[in-house]
Amino acid sequence: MIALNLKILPQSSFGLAGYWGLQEPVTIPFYNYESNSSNYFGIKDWGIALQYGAEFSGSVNSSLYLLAMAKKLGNHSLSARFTPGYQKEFLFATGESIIINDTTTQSLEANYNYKELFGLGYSYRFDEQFNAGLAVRFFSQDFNQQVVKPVFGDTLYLVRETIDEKVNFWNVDLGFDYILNKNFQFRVSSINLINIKDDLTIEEFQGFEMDQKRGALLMASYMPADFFNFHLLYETSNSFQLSTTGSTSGFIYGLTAFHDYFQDPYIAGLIPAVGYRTNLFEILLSGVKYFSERNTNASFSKFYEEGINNIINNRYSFDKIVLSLALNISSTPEKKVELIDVEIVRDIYPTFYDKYIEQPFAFGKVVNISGETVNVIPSVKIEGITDEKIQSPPQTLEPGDTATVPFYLIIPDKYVIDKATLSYADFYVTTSSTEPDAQLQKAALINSLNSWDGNVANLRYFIMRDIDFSMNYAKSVLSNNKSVLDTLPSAISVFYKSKILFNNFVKSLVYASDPRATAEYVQFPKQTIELKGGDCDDLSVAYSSLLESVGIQTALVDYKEDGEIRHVNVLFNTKLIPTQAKFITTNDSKYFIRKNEQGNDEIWIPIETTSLTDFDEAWNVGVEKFNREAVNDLGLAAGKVEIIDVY
Amino acid sequence: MKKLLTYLIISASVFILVSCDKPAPTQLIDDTSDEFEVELLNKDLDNPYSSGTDTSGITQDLTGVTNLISVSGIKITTENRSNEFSLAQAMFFDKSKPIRYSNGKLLAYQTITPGTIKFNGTEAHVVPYRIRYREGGSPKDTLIGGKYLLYNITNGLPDPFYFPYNASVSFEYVPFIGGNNVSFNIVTPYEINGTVSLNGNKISKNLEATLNWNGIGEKKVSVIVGLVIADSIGGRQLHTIPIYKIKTADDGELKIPGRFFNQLPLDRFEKIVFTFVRSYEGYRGSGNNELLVSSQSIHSIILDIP
Repeated sequence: MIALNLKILPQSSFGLAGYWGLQEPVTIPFYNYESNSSNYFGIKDWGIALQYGAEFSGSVNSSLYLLAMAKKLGNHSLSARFTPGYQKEFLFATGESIIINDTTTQSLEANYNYKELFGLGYSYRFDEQFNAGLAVRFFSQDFNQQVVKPVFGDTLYLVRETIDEKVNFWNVDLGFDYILNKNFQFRVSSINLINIKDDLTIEEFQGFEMDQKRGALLMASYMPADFFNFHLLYETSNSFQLSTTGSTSGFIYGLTAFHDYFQDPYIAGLIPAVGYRTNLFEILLSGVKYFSERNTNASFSKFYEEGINNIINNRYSFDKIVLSLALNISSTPEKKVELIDVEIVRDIYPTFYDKYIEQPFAFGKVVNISGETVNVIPSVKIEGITDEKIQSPPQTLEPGDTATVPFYLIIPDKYVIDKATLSYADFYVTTSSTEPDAQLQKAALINSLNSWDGNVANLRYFIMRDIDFSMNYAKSVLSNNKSVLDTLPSAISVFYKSKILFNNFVKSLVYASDPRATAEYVQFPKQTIELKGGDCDDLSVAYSSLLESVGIQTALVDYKEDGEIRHVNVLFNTKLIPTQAKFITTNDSKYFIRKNEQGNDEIWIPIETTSLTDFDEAWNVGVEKFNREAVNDLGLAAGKVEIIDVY
Repeated sequence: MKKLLTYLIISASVFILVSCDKPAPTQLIDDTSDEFEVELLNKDLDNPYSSGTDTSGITQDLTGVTNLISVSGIKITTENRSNEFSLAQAMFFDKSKPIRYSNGKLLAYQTITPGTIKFNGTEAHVVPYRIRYREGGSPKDTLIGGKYLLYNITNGLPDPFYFPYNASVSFEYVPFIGGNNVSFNIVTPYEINGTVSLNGNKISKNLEATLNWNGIGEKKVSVIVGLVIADSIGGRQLHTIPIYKIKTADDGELKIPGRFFNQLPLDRFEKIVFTFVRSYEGYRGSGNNELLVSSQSIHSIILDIP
């Protein structure tokens, strides 16, 4: 047979699932190197896919068309595929025949098989808009042909011999993707850019090799909405594909029409596809329907004249139905939220143990980078303070939303560091998985145990921290004065208990200011008594603690004097009603009336705890200051004086 | 869940892989005329069969023929010189009188000359019909009877029979005793003119031949490949041993692959001959009266074996 000039080309852009552009949620079409030479993959970690189908060629022949795997490593994507079903075989009579035994004619036959065996892909994602990669594919051509061969021994005779040759070649193509925005995407890739092949040695097979004619693919996608996307793919061989795809509620669908320059009619066929996808898997059922009649027999002269330009899509291909399955597996949880920044808004005072349960000490800026609504659980762990992460209440975030989430904190009772410490706080935000989606670390100053923020209301923490000590101390003092207390009317019991405790409390105390160059420093009651001195807040804390420990209601009076050192002293509730005031004093300026929770008037007495002489003196000094600044100067009304109940 | 799905898909893949068919092949029906039918004409090169028509370069196995009417326009090209001949022959075989090789194999049948025969009005001579063959490596011939012959070597000599191409030759038979006269026209083909290009050589065993001729696209042509040896019979006369008869489409081109030459003991032969035959053949009558009527345009090219 004379060498032929057949146009047998390896793959161009046809895919068994149609063309879907660069839609990341649908990964099955990415395994089609024919239109994805740039190896663009929308997977997060691992992807596995297979395509199994049947072609209707008179009988039904089923094939595994493709088995593939992909892996994402940061900005790199790798893939490999095995394509046992990508093959086309032609059987024909060679035209040679032998006349044997003078009568019988034996025709000789040939079998040419074209296959694409496997492929490899690599890509690099430069940024959100630009991706580039390459695909390498391996083709095999098996030529088998019977020939007449004379054999000369004692006599000459003709034998039928089979000659065969396998000619392999590698094909490399490059691709570049440009994602302008979520609506427009573009791609350009080569066809048969580089071919590395074996040499054909047997002359009978000359002209039957695949043609490696170079070309290019140009692709554009317009995706205005999830349910409607439009794609155009054009080859420089004057073939093209038009497709529309979409997704809604997990269902995916597509329809591709293709024009093949070498097939009739103008629109040679359609590839409808419908499927379903989740974040884990995809299943897609597609079909290939040709608009011209297909037979298992064909004209050799037509084949000789035109050849084929694609192994799986040519005038000799049959209608197909294909089932595609893909799994998207993440060995690491998918990140759904990002923690952009954290601001620590409150200094940490370890004594304020429950303050940060109600008031966040930090706020974080979180953005939902997934496509679904998520519940964000903030948590924090501070080195040296907490052993475990302290979780804060969850917050719901819609896709794409940014929110400020609070971080709460619990200071454990066992924290006893008495000096300021610079530590670090690890902030976490977690969605569904056990591993946090994002984390951030910030330096955090942990104040000493005795540090105070200057807010008189927070002195309650110092009052209550040593309540056991105060209780023991107070009970001991009162016990020593039992004989006196037992003789008193119950109405004035509170008054006299307060008096006894104060007189005993101040016996050995002196006034001492806080150390210089320190933040506000407040002593616990035990410290004040053991150190035998303190400033106004120390003494007020100690005295209030003693009273509270035996059930006497107290309040702190905060004298917020502009430009001068602020001052604190104590008010305590005598539990006397105004008509009973005469039991303790006839001077109605020496007490202050406050309503209790039931709305009844009760007599409260101000005590200047820095007056370390006796109760009466302290009462006088306290009254004088209170009347002057809180009442007469309208300090209470103006907010310059504040009464803060300990409880 | 993920592990289960992964194992499932891998297992399904393995199952599918081992249970799959492959895509259906396409059977290409040969609707071209590009054929290449090969027949081996002589298996024993030491004892080849020949009907003795050396100068015509034509050889036929006549053992299956009852009666043969053959008209030929012949051209022989050797060393770039061509000589043209016209030949008309008729043989009538008596199937009751076989002639055999010494080993009993049928060589031919005796011939008879039952009447007069005219081609284009010229009466054919009856001449001895000898068959040359080789047996045991030695050339031999045998007389099997007479045959009718007209031949024109040059300018109507010895016989004024001129083979007309793409025309017809009239045939007339008048029996000597009894029987009916027979006359009809024998249609003749277009003249065939060929060229041969030999590549390679016998020493390297890479000889191959490319043949071209004026193809007319009708029917088929035959190409007979023979090897030429000097024959001691009749002096230094070249004796052709036909090896292959190749039938192919009359498209004007044929490439004979090297494998057809390189197994042959070419060093025992002096020349190689390629004979192009464009023929019209048909049968008339039946039984003992069956006539094989053949008209041929023949061009033989004799070349040295490189």
